[in-house]
Amino acid sequence: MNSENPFGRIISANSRECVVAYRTSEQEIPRFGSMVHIPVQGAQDFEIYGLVTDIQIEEDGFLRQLATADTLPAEVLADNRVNRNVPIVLRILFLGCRDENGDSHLLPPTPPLTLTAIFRCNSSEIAHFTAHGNFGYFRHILNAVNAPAAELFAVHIRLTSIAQNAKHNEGWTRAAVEELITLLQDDYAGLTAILGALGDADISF
Amino acid sequence: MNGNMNGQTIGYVTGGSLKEGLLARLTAAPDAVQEGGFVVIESGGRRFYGLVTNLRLDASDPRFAENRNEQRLGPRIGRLLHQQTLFTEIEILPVLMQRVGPEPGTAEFDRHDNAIDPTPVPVKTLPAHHAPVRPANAFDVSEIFGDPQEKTKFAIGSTREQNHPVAIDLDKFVQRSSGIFGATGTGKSYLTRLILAGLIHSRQAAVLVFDMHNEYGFGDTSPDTNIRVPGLKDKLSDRVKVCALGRGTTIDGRTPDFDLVLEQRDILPEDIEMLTHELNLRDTTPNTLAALVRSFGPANWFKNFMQLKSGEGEGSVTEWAEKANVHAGAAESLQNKLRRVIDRAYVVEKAPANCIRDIIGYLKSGVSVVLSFGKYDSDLDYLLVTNILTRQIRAAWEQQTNAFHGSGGAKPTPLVIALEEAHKLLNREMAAQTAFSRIAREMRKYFVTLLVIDQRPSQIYDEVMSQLGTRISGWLGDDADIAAVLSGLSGRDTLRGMLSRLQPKEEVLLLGYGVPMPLPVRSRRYDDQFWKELLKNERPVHFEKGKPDWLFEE
Ligand SMILES: Nc1ncnc2c1ncn2[C@@H]1O[C@H](COP(=O)(O)OP(=O)(O)OP(=O)(O)O)[C@@H](O)[C@H]1O
Ligand SMILES: [Mg+2]
Repeated sequence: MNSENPFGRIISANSRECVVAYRTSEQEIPRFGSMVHIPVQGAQDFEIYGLVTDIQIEEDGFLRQLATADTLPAEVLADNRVNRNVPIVLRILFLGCRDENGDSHLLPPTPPLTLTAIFRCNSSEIAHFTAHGNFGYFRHILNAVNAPAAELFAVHIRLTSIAQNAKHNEGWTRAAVEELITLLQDDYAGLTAILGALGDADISF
Repeated sequence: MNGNMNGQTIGYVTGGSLKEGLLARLTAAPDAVQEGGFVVIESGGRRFYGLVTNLRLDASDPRFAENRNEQRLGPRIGRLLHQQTLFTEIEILPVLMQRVGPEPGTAEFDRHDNAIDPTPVPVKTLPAHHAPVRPANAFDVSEIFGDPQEKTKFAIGSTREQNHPVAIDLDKFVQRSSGIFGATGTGKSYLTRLILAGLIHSRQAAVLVFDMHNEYGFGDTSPDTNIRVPGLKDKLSDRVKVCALGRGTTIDGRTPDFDLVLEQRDILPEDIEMLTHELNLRDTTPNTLAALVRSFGPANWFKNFMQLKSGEGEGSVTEWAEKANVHAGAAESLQNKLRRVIDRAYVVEKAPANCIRDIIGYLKSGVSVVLSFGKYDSDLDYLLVTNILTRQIRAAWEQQTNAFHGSGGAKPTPLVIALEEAHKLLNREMAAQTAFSRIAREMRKYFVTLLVIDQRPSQIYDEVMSQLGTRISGWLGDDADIAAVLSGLSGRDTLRGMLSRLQPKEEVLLLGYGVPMPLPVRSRRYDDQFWKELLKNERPVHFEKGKPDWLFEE
């Protein structure tokens, strides 16, 4: 399953989310709103599924000097971006997990330990996890503190609908939107914000 | 019980109470149901039958309804949003419920107790939450209202949405007095013609129609459509006699079967008292009339009184008044006023035949009689003639019923007396004096009932109204009229709105304890098609006078 290289390792975690340091040797930062998975080994092996909810790029000691320099040679620019002293960190919201019994939209039994490796999900993993059950994992996104739910849903549903369409599961997108409407019927402002973002994301169903 | 005929579900139950009715969320488009729609809810081994009494557009949050979000979100997302947040709620008045067994062919069916009584009864419990709601199908309608093909059932119209035929039970219709109401032009006379045709054809009863406007015997031309429709005599000639008031009267150029003239001896003091308003009689009149009966006897008082001369002396009113100890002025004034009665051409001293006895004879043998008033269309004519006739009919039926119960005589023929403009005879002041209120109240024991037809039910004495088992009402605008039609019925508030929103023509609400549940129906059309359907199984019958036993064979 983990044919790819891990793109980073966990530096802190709790039951709901974790923070990951991004390996700058990787070509591309996982995108905001994309799905990742974290294999956890222990008494019982399982795999945590999560969503990238934040990407933080912080300054290191030299950055202020560089930023104010008159000219910035390309090598210096590249060097600063790749060989960083302070890593880029990603915040990952847990959506559920998978063990020998299959997928579950409940939170993982234990958070992953530090330095656990983390991988991107491929299209078929995304399709599998999100088609399981009845969108139970939406509640984790809705309950996330400090996360832009509307933006997350817009990206997540757009990316996932591509994965589902590839599996000929065309009804998924519509069902997902319907589920959101059901969940947020009593939250007019929240629902219209999310639907507005979905509109911007130009999702087709 | 056929459970496979379930139509498609239009919604599901979301709440409610026995007092306030059920609430259901509509899953179909709002125009899938209408107010007054007949719906069925299946839940827990029971089938509930009810009426849609209200529809309401609702939203899970009023802001979803107020803001036109589809303009902002685009049509696709907008549509999804509205499908879930905007909905129609229907209110249902549950009326009847029925036990249903399991589906034939299932394991439960083999095990189930065949003793389940499927008779529909008034609702005493409610269906569960989320029980599916569906429009009644033809099977449901006939389960409740009866199969229109049955001999004692008569299709009076059809449900408004699905056009399933709705029948009334002629037996019940005859057993209690009934009423047909509605503002002018709503179709009362057409509907009455339909029902009378059904009654006469089914031989469920003999009918006496007081046809004030000459519409029933030889038919009528609709002022709206200019189409001429046949009368009862035209189509059921062997079972209907047309009788016209006054000698030599023709109805629309056609000759009636016989004439009705009244003999002076038929007129009793009570017939005159009933005309107090018409003749503008004084308070002293009852006294004077009593004295007249004392002097001349009940049969001859009218003739002898009217022969008294005015002025003084031998054979004068004054002389009689002094002898009889009544006020002479009052007596003279009464005689003057009674000239209006004796001057009617149909009041004669001696009739060539006893017309009233003939009418009673026909009715007893099961032949219906349409009494056309011809040109005598004043209230005085109507009141006088109907009252005299009805009094004698009542006496005849009472006598026959007593003989039937006592000495094993023949069972009287059920008789329905149809009264147009019934409020003239059954208003509060009149009701006590005319024969009709007694018929409405107690004559069903004697096999005589009324079919009251009126535009102004509020003018009919409420004690009479409360006796009307089957009430059929077209559109009514006046609040008092609506209240009168609904008096004594449960669910008045919801039915009130339904009545005032009927189509102005050819739509009626069936009501009262004579029908299983209230239901708005589209009236059956009275046209050639109707007659074809009614008479399709008709064998020609040879009617022999004096041998009425082909009727009412048990
Ligand atoms: N069942 C019906 N079949 C065919 N036409 C009908 C029917 N009911 C009503 N109509 C039409 O409506 C018109 C009015 O009906 P009708 O004469 O029965 O009214 P009404 O209620 O008796 O009025 P009013 O109180 O003035 O006597 C008729 O002339 C006819 O054109
Ligand atoms: Mg009429």
